[in-house]
Amino acid sequence: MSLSCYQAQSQSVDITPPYAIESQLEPTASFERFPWLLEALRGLQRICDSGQLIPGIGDLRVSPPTASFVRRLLSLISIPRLPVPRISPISGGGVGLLWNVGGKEAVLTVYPTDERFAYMLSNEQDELVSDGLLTLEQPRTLNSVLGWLVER
Amino acid sequence: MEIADDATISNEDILLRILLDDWIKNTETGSRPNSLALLDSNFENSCFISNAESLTELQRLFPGLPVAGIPVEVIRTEGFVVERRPNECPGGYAGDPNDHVVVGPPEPCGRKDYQRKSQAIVKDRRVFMLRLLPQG
Repeated sequence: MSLSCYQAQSQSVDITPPYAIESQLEPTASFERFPWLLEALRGLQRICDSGQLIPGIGDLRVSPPTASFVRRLLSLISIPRLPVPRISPISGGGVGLLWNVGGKEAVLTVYPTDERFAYMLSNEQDELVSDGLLTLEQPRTLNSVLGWLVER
Repeated sequence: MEIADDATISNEDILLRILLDDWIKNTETGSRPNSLALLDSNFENSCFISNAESLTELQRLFPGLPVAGIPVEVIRTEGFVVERRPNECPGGYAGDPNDHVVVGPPEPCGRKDYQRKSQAIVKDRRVFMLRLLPQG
C-alpha cells in the first residue's frame, strides 16, 4: 500500500460514538472538582434570561455567542477553591465575572465586540495592582491571574 | 462613536448613573459602584445631570434602583468627557431630554486604558450612592 493510499483510508474512519459518551460525562466530573462552576453557570443563565435593553441604563442583553465565550472561559479555570464569582451584565451586551476573596478583587470582562477578555486585580486597599487582556488560548496565564486571589 | 465634551456642563454638576444591584460593592464604610458599573462595550455610558426635575423623573422611571452620584470633575479628571444625547433619552422621560448625557473617552482608546479610567472614577471618594425611593 502506498503512503498516499494509507492516508486516504485513515481519514475516512468514523470515531463518533464512544467520544460522544465521554463528553457527556465530563461536565459532571468538573462540577465535583470545581464546586463554584455550577453556580457560575446558573448565574450566567440568569443574566441571559433576564437581559433587556433599558434606555437610560444600557443594553443588558447577552447574545448566545457571548454566553458561549463566557462558558468557555469558565471551563479554562482550574482552581478548585475559588468562591462562586458574581456574574453580572455589562452595558453593551458584555458580561462581568467578579470575585472577592479577603478584600482582594478580581474582575474579568467579556465584550461582544472583542475576542479577548480583560482582567483587573485590586488589592485589600482597593488599589489596582494588575490588569491586561488575554485570549482563550492563554489558560495558564488566566489561572495564574486568578490564583493570586487565593494564594497565601 | 466619539464623544464631544460639552462646555455647558460644569465641573460642579453631578451626574446620576442608574445602577443594577449587581453593580454595587459593599465596603466597610458603606457602598460604592463596583468595577462594572461604568463599563460599556461601546465605551459610552448613559447618565443624567442631577437637578430636582431629573431626580423626580428617575424616581418615577426607575423606582427602587440604586444610583451613583458622580461629580463631573471626577469624570474629566480621569480623562473622560460628557456629551448631551437628548435623542437617546428614555421614552417616557418627562423632564428635559438634555439632562441625558453619555460619558466616555473623547477619542478611541484601548480597552485596558478605558477600563482603568472607568474603575478610577467609581473608586473616587467623591462618588456617592443614592437609592431611588418608590413614589407614593
